[in-house]
Amino acid sequence: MLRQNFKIRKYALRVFLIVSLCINILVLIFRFPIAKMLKEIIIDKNDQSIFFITGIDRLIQQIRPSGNLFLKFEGFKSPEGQGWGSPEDAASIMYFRVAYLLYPHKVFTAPEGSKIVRGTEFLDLNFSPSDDWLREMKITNILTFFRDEKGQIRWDYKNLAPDMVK
Amino acid sequence: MNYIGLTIYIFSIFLLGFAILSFCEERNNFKGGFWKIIAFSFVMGVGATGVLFFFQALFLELSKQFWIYINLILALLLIFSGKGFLILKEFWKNTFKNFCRPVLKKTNIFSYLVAIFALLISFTIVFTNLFFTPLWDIDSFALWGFKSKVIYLSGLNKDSYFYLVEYGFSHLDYPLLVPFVNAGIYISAGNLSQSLGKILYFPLLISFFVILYCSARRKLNSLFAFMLSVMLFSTAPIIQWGSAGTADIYIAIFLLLSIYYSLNFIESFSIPYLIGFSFVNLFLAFTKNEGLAIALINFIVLFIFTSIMGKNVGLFHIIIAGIAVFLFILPWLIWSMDIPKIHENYPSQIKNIFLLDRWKRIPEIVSVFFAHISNLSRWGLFWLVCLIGMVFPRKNLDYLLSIVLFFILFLLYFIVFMISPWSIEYLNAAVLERLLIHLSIPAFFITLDFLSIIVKMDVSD
Repeated sequence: MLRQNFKIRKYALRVFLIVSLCINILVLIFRFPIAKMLKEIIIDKNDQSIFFITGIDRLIQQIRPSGNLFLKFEGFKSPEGQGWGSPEDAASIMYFRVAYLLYPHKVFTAPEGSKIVRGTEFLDLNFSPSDDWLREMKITNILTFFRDEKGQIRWDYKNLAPDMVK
Repeated sequence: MNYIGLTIYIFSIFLLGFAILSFCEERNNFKGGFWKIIAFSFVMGVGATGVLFFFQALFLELSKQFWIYINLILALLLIFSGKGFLILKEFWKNTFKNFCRPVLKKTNIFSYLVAIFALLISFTIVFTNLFFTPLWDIDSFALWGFKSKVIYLSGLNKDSYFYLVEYGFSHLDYPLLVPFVNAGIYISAGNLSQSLGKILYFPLLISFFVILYCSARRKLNSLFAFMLSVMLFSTAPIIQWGSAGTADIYIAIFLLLSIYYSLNFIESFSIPYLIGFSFVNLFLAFTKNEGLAIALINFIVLFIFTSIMGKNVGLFHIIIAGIAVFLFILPWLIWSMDIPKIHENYPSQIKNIFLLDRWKRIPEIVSVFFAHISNLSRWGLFWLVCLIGMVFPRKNLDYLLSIVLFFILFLLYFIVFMISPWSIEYLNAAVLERLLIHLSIPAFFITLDFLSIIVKMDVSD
């Protein structure tokens, strides 16, 4: 009797574990956003889901800034404020990505010494650098992102005249 | 790309880990075969490499290339001076004995097939995410990728990065184990390719699975141990954050080894297990800020359990081990003291706990925690079975130690949510799932103990 009870428990546990594993399998195949994203990127050759990343990579590859860069954002403040998927959020991701890609060159979005934690503080500061300041910070390039009312993002790149940079 | 350099670096990680492992296992009672040695060596090696690189960068004015050679030399010295060769002998004797010979009964085959299928899907996703995509997760490039690049290009030069509050988003004050290990890849390969920064995660995740399995084998037969390990490993958060390129999977693996060594130490009071425990807690403290808190909690819990068992000799050894670990962490604490702490300086925010509006957060915090753990499309049935396992109190070591650790860590994260300057909505979206990955480790041991009671501790095959 005891032996049979023991067998039943083992059998029940095995069934439970199989069901758990099947749930995980189904989730990974049908409900896992990363799997869907990987399929798009690798099989469909469509990187739309990480476009903010790959798009910035391609842009930096294209413009190849030669030194420190000033990054400007226009039209990225929304009435709702920062939240997942907001324009502010997009600005922060773009800034993080450019800062990562360009290191050891420095990327400025605000006066030196401005604490940037959430990655959107510069939107509130709305800083416009003077020529003297650009020279002092050894900034050789300015990259501006514009966001229009429809949410379309354009960019403008300016390589500062060599005489401006000492 | 320098493939030879890369191979030497990865080999040096294994060798250093193996050298350390030879001090962390009982020579005459070594349980485990090929896979256990490989997995444990790799995890120990990754941790030791990160810490050693930091010390070399701090104290030695050497070219970064030499960091790897010094690792190799140190590994060989440790192997020759320690028990490495004896462990190696055991290793050959036991190779494939414990891991690769599951008993395949007719009734087991279907269960194995389902588990292997789940494991294959998990590793396929991990592999493609690691090797076919750039660093796309925000934390992976804005924190860990950024820091790895800083270490590779500027070393520990504080003016180049650590004082720049403009880069405060990348947590300037975070410990540097992961960036140093990743920088080793760039140094050895002579290449700063983004995808290179993620390659160590693949062997790390294989090691994670093997260590889960080895831990489960303490109490379950090979079939159930395998299925339970796959059950946790194939959950969406583990797959996602394990292959994202962040440090949370490091915390999970070191915590897993810490509990593994704690349980072995309390059962046997054997010093090698305490050495292993000390090493992984040192690595925890060097991985993330919360790793330091987790290491402290691990030491306190081990101390309390050892004192309950009435082993005063063990207590003395734990105190010595704690002091040794602290002395190793001290140079980092001193060096990082003047780095601006502008992100989440929790010790300075602890006073927020006295604010009434922070107590009003409690229902919201509880609800987001439950929303996460009850989410079948993220965690499957893992938390459900763990919660059931928790509510049957029992007097055995595995259960008691795991549940105490679980609740202390839970309390720690709960308090963090209460005092944090960020909203619960933000914390929920940004960090909660990763904190649950840390909590899933003691939860795994609670579940393991519960299942072993159901099948009456059947460890035979």
